[in-house]
Amino acid sequence: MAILCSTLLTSCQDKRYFTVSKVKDAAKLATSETIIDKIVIGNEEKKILRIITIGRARFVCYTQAVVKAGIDLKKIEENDISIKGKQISLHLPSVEVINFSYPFDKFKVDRVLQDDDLFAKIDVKDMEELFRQSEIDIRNLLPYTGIIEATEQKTTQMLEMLLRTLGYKEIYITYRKGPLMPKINPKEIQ
Amino acid sequence: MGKLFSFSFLLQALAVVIAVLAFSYFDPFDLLISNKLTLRDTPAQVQQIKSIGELISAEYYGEVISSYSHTVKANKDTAIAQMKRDVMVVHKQFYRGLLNIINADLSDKSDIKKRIQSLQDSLEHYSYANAYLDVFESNIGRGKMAQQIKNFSDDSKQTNFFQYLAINKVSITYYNEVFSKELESINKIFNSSKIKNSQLILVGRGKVQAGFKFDSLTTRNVKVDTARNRIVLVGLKPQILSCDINPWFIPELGLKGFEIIEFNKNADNIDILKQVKLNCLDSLRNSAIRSEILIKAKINAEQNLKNLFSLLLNNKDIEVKILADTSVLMSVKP
Repeated sequence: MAILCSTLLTSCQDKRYFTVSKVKDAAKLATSETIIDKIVIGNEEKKILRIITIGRARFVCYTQAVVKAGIDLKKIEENDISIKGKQISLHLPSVEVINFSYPFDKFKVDRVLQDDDLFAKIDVKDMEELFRQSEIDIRNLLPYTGIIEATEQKTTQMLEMLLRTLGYKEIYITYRKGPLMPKINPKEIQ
Repeated sequence: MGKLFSFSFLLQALAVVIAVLAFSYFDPFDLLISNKLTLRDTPAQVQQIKSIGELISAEYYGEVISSYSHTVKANKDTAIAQMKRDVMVVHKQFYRGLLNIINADLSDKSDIKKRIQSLQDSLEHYSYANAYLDVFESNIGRGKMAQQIKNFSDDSKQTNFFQYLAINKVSITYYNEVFSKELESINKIFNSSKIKNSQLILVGRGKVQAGFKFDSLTTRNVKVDTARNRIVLVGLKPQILSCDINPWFIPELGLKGFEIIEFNKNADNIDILKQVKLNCLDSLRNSAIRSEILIKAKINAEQNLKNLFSLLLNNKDIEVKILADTSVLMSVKP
């Protein structure tokens, strides 16, 4: 019984991670910046015995995310490049999110619509939870915003300019297909 | 008997209602009250997609901890440093004004008047000018300044008065007086019981990216020296390109960006939360800079671009150099 209890307790413990404070090498070329607006509307309901509502609270906040996309230059391999005289063909890695920023200093709380009462109040921990849910929403919507196509176009323009400076006359650029960023299932991370 | 019964019944009913409400309010076992926090489905709207050109060559991942006490101390230090600078600016301006009056032609009363007016006008737009003038007046007697200035050209003693102020740098004592007075009021603000009794402790995990901006890069900045197997990129300085702590650090692993460790009722407020988050962000940026992210960004960029150009030019011996100084543009032969 004791073994069973200890096994159960161990399995229920929080996952622990460690963050390494270290500078890492990178070679990422960001060519597009997308600004996305989202209004965060959160509601909290307090109920007695899960039936009788005794309080409601509302939180409204205007938020903005800034997403930089581009390609990881480290993923370019020798086989991806073919050179014939003044002609070059590049098969580049898929477009990916280079930086996702959801800056809190741009969050604007609508104090007119904010509503707390005696029994229900959205506190700072709840606000953080709402911002987290909102971030997941934005991240999961990213592939459908046209970022990939726009980034491919802008990366092509930039590389064409560079390759012409290097002396190439005929330039062909294509991209691999791949995920913009890992898909997140909100239920898995709760 | 009936009345007594109904009275005791009412009392008991009231006691039960109060007990239920109290239990519901505090709900020590989270049994009675269910809390449901929901995020409404709102669309995410793309405002714009614009072109940028950035090469990220170094990334720093870090964890920092901050609290409202840390933030208040940092804000207080900033406020004191700013006040010190502002008072010194007023002090210098005042001193310059005094010297200007002393150098006036004693026979030209209108010139003296102009210079006095100019001193007063020059102080108008500065913070702490009123506090400075108050100290000045309290030293020479309230309301006396105008009188002293008015008599400036008539009485040699008054002339001496201004010269004495300027030459012996008496006004430095005014600077000290204003400074200690303002320091007292800043201490009063930051040591208020409301601030002292507020606490919010936050852990922040985030990322700092450093590298180069290519937005304004033209063919002029890229020098290809085929003879020496060298490519020189001119006019590029490594810089911090982003410093972010998001609600999520690594969402796919369930690792939060900001994690509230503790907060009390006084600090349950988004403005305080924002201040502490800003402090976390400053700490993260400073940690990255201390880890020499900018130096490493340059070294990494040169190495990574060397690899890229080696592939693009099919030449493994190519060298890449990044130079910040644009004057080199002239000396580097294309």
